[in-house]
Amino acid sequence: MRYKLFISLFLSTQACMMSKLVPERPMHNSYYIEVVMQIIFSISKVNHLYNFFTDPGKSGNYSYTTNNIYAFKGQPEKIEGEFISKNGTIKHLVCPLNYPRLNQIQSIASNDTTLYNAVVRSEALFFLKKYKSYPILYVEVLNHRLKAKIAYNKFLKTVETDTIYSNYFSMN
Amino acid sequence: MKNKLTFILKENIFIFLDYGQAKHQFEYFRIAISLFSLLNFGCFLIDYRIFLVPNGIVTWEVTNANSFWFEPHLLKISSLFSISDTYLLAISTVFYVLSLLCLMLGLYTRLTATIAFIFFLLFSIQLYPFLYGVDLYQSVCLLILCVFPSGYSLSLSSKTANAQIIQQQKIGVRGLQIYLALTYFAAGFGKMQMDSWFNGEFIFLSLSDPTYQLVNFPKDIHYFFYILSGIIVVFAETLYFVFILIPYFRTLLLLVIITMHLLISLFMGLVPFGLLLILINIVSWYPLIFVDIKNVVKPSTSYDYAL
Repeated sequence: MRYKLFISLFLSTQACMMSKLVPERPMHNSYYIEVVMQIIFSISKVNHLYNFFTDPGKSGNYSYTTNNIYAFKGQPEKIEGEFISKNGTIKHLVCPLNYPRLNQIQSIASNDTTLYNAVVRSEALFFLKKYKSYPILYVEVLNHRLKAKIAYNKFLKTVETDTIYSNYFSMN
Repeated sequence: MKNKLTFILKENIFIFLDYGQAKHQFEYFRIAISLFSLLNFGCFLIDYRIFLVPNGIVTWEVTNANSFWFEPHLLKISSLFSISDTYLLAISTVFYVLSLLCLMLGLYTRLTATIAFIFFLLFSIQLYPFLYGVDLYQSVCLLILCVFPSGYSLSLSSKTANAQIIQQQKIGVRGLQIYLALTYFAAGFGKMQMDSWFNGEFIFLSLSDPTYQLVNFPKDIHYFFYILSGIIVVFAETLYFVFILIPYFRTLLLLVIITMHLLISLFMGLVPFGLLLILINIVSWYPLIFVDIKNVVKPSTSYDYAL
């Protein structure tokens, strides 16, 4: 009986979490309901992920984020440096199975600005420690909005790029 | 008639508990999830200097500041007990891996699953910026293993499960099956609200997103392929809970779902996600697929119930 009760409660709560997908959801306006659900299952941090592969606003638009990280030293007349990122990503630093993990932190740039500011500072600190001979780091985050159009029976994509974040960092 | 209706109302989601269930199913589920969890954590360990260490690419201070007051971040625990961060990380890693190994071998399964779940939560709070869908499913699967008995026939300390234990395992499998149907419905319903899934644009753009690609998807494909794929994905996910109950059609549905996850793994680089979802789908529904195959090979009138 208690096993059946557990499954019933668990599925009901998961259904409530999923009801976030419904555009108008009065029961989710309460902060306390959200907190209670997160305490009950303590799966808190991952429960928002039901909406994978879709955008929360249901706009149907598609965009992705890249970042250029450049470490350098010297004066304006003679600058030496190297790109830490390659083709707008730092995923070459990890094994291929972990590529989506690093992409995930780039996607935070467009949906959680406060967290992303902290994440970028943390990234900068990490690279400044790693590349000690280059004391200055330039970070640029680009948002690419994609649109598709049909030409000759094929889809073609157009990309509009905006710089959403840029900053210089140094250990000082 | 009245008795039948009362029975259906009383049993609701647990009605015909033998339907789609096999003898060792829940134990296979335990082995699959513990193996997968080891693999998933192994990926973090390969790049532990980037992900796991206190001064990794996202420092513990950042994830701790972003956590709720009630969430047990490793940094909070290390300050509370005055343990060094590195030491705590090493202990947590050892306990997590050991608990998963014991779970896989079927030793004290509920206890080891609970320990694994606690350490999974600790790591998921610390690794929050790197999490995506795969971690959600893994946490739910571990939670189910914390509650239901799973260390009997396929265990290092093999025991005979009595009727009550088998019944409890069946409730666990039924919960998993309904959970899977719910999540697919949620994903499909979300997509259904967007035109770009019906005109093929979303699939085309996501497959050509350079940040995701593991293997490059061929570019010269007729646009109709993307339209058809988008429509199939939306309907297969939204109506998963209906299609999975239709004999023979459910085999086709599972083929579609497995192909979709293979393509996601290969062309979007989400290998752990694809692998876990394929495992859960197979473990949840293999008894019904076997029945379908058996009925095709040797037609029988009494299909559908337990093997």
